[in-house]
Amino acid sequence: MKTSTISSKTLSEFATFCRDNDLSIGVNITKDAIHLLDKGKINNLDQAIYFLQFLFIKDRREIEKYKFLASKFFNRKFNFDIDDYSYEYDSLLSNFNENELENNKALYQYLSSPNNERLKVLSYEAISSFESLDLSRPVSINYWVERIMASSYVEDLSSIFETNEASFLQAYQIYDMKNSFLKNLREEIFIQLFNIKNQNKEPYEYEFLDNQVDLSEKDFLHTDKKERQELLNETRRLGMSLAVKLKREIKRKKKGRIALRRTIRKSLSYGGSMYSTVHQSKAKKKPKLIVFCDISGSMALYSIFGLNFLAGILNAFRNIRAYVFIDGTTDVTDVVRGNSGEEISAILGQWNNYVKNDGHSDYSFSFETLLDSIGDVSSNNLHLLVVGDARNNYRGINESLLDNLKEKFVRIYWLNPEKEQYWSTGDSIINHFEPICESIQEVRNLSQLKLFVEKLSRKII
Amino acid sequence: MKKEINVTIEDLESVGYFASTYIVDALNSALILGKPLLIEGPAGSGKTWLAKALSQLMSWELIRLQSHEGIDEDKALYEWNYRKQLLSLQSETEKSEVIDDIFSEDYLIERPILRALRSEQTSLLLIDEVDRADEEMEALLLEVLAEDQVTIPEIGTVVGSKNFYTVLTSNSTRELSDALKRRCIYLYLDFPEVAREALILRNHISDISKAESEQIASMVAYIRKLNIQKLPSIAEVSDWLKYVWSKDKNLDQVDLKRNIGILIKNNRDQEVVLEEIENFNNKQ
Repeated sequence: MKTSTISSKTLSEFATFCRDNDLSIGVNITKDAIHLLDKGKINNLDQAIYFLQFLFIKDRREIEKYKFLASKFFNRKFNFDIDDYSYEYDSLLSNFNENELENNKALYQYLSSPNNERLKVLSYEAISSFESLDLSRPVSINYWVERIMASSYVEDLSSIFETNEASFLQAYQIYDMKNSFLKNLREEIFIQLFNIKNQNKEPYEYEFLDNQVDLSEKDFLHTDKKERQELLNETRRLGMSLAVKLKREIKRKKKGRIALRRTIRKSLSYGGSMYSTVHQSKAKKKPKLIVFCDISGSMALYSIFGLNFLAGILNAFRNIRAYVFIDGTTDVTDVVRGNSGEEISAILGQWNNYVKNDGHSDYSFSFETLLDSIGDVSSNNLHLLVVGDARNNYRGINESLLDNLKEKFVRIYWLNPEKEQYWSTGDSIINHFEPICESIQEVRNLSQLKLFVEKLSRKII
Repeated sequence: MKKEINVTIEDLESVGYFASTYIVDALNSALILGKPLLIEGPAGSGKTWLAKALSQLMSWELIRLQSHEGIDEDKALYEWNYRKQLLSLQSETEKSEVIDDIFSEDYLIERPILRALRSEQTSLLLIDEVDRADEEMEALLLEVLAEDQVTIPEIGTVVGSKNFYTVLTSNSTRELSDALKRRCIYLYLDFPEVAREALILRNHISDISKAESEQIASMVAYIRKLNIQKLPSIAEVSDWLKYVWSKDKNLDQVDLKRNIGILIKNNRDQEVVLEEIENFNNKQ
């Protein structure tokens, strides 16, 4: 059987290709797809791929992935943008400063008529003007992308968008235009850096480091890309399972003692037969949890696991908040909630956005700012979960801060990814926190995290 | 087999819903395949309205099931009329009559899903905010969504009349199961673009100009990009503008501080919005 545009064999192969790449697609999708394409009077491949998204995508986070897989499978680029209500960038350029436009001809040309070639020129210039680029360093490409995006070259490019005397609508459109341009530029810089890096041999080999057979026993730090992804999925599931446990326990505790008078009264409506019992309602006491995650350089990889674990819990609870810190605190609840692992990892890719002072961990100041930002949260059931190595770069810690933490939180749990033998050595201040913590646990791999979840689900309720 | 229906942007506009091509295409895909439409998106982006508009356009009866924590088959599918059953049993003893079966149609109370399944007129079953229900409830829905039927252990399988369409909405407060999603056509409904929201506002306030409505819509679009906990819904924007417009028709004179409570419902969010709007205005 053949639809007007794609044969059922191709459709079936495309579905299998998508399924193999982690799109959750049912086995009988081909029948529905053929029916949709036939009845929807679809007559070209672009339209067909556009319409199939409604069948293939089951989550907004899968939209980009679906586009990518379709482009890869059919070996061509698909554009789903329908400009029902879009505005013309061209007309906005009249609001820009003429001198700035003159100085940024490449950007002006791109904005007048956006195309990929022009974007490539801009990203190439951005990369080549960034002198301290060193791709042999063991940091992610995202790190360099963010450094380049914060460079003076990109800053100069951005200044073109600063206009005067625009109405709110024009100003918003320009703001939107700027964001869209920076997003495209970031993507293009990533692609170019990726291509440059992959021309060379990987600078680090991980095989010799730690070769445990059981993945759950393997140190997060020593995993390769595939293993890491598997562990990240497992970590998120662990978070979700903790959430389910908490929910069940809260539900179970919701039922109070039997209300005898109301039970008898209710039984009258069944002719005196005691069909069901009535219980007194019990005020729900949901645990409030704050998760506080160190994302400084030494902690980066472990923090991805911490945040993924948290994402699993966050999707089930509204009253959990997530903060990341280096030398100051940033609320990332909305970034983590409902987002994919890739988006969460991107937090760490943009770590310089979270630097408040000098970029080195400052536990004292970070805890102080955390207490300030949750100052108005009053709860007698507030818990704190810290993910960090407590390496404070030889800064001191205030005793009154510890008292304040003890006062604010019912229980504090600490996940320390550092081997226990190194705790309280050098600039580690973990010993200062020991007296106020319910438990401090070394968590460097999945099985240690599982153990911790077991403990936590018993204690937190 | 369900009747194949095709709706257009203009059709939906005629009942006061301003859709984009993307929304209409997803809706038509669901109608063509006779599959449930799962609409996911932030609260206040018009998910429930889309279902209402469709039922109004097609003159279908709207059967609504509002999900909540703890909802079960008694409230969603069917329930036995225990009072009637007990009374029947008592009268059986008193009058020495023999009642064949107290688990029969006579004792069955239809809840929304069963009502939609057995509806003779075409109807639209709206399962609203399905993410608020427990996971067990999702399992109950699977049979209805895939097979248009429901199994009642005491009676057997009730097969639907194929006269109903289903729309599910979710605010994404939790992940829905893959099994449920697989049975649906998926539509992510975000807040409208500036021009479409301006159109909605003009529909609500007749004497506002295109430029003015776009000005407000662009300000709201900017607010929705800020780091605030609760984003203003379309209805809240419309209410706020109606109030502001009734007081003064000159938008340049609007003092957001005085009536921000209509638009933003959280103290911290209000502070963020006022500060950011001021910064934005100062930058320009």
